[in-house]
Amino acid sequence: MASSTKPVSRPDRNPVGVALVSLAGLVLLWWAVSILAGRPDLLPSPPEVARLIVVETLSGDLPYHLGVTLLRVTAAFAIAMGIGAAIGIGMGMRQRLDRWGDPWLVFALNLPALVTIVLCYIWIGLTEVAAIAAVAINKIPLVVTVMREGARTLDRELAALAQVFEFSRTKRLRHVILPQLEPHFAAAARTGVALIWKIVLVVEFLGRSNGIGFQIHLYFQNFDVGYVLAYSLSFVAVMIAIELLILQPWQRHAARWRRA
Amino acid sequence: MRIDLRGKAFGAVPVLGPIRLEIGEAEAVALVGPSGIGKSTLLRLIAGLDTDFEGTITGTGTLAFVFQEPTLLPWRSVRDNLTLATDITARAADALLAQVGLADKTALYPSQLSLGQRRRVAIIRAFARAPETLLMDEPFASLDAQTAAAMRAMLADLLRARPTRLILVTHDERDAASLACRTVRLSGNPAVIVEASAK
Repeated sequence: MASSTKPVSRPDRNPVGVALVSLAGLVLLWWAVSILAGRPDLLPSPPEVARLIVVETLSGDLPYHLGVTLLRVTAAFAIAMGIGAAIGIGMGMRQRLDRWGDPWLVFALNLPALVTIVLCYIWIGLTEVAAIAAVAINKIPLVVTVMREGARTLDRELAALAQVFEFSRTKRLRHVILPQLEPHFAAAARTGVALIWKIVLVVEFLGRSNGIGFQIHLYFQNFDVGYVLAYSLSFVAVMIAIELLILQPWQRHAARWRRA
Repeated sequence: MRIDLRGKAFGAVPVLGPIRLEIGEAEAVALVGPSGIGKSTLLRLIAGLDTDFEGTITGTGTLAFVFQEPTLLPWRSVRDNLTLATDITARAADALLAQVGLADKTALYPSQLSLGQRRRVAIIRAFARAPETLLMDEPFASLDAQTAAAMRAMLADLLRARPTRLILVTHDERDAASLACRTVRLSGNPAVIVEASAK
């Protein structure tokens, strides 16, 4: 009897370990390229950028600007998720609203982020409200799109169950509709955070006097790549921490019944 | 309870014709007929899930529905599926689940149960609502003969313990016989009652 010799793929036993080794490889590659380039003013080495991060942290500048940017990201994220989810669920559940709203959605999806930012600054002024509004407006169409897809796939039999068993509006939302939309919420949130912080940096670059984007603008004018990398990589680290410590655990918690 | 239906159509296609039916309290009626004739459609009209029809349906009182599929909330435990749908306490839910042989399954998710067990949960959930009218749409479909027979016996026991008006859609004459149902047969296009056994 012949036996198969085809190798069997095994799942990684330690995905976090693999991720850390992979990231360490990226840092080593950067280090090697910086040595080969021999231009520390254009591409400083990882230890040099780490030193600048420590210096800026001890001076208090890095925590301050990081905190300001994080607040803007949080505010824009909350507004975009709230408004985008409400519109998306509405469009997914009501055909007429979807028919009328879809052309607006296509328009909004194709509006360049830069245009929204510039217009918000012109119409509202160089204020915090304009900055957060510009970011939220950029993100809302994407949230609408994801949540609309989720609402379109809501289970009709569960809706019938809720109707016959006379679920209250709150009970229907909490126990029937939102659990079905949870994967879509998670998807919108994860892609949302990644997009929002990049737009926040542009908004700060163009019209704020603090935040990571402002600092990058400042050091860009001095062509100081070391500081640009120190500030941007610090914020990337914070966003990765949010992804690993908040978003992924939330997504796992929401999907625990699927693994049962 | 009185059904006085003049007609039901999907768009321009008539599905149900004139149907008049009176069902007393604690009376069991089996709606039988070929597949696709409109039995489930009639059940959904009675449940109020479809209000686009000509005629009146009155006197249904509190309703409970056992759907073709168990239709449980997959993200809630078996116990929560009862308490959420009926507002009974967790203890009462556990007692009811024990009554249908699911005492050790109360904390599990529906996906951890077999199809037969999920159907039992759906049936006991309907009884937990203490309905005046219980609607059942092919509740024993896709079960093996042995499980289906056990389920029929379980349903007969529940109905004996708590007499309820029952409208059962089925294509299996054994369901009607085991539950001592009055049989109402639908046929034609659009469907009308062609045969009804005596009360």
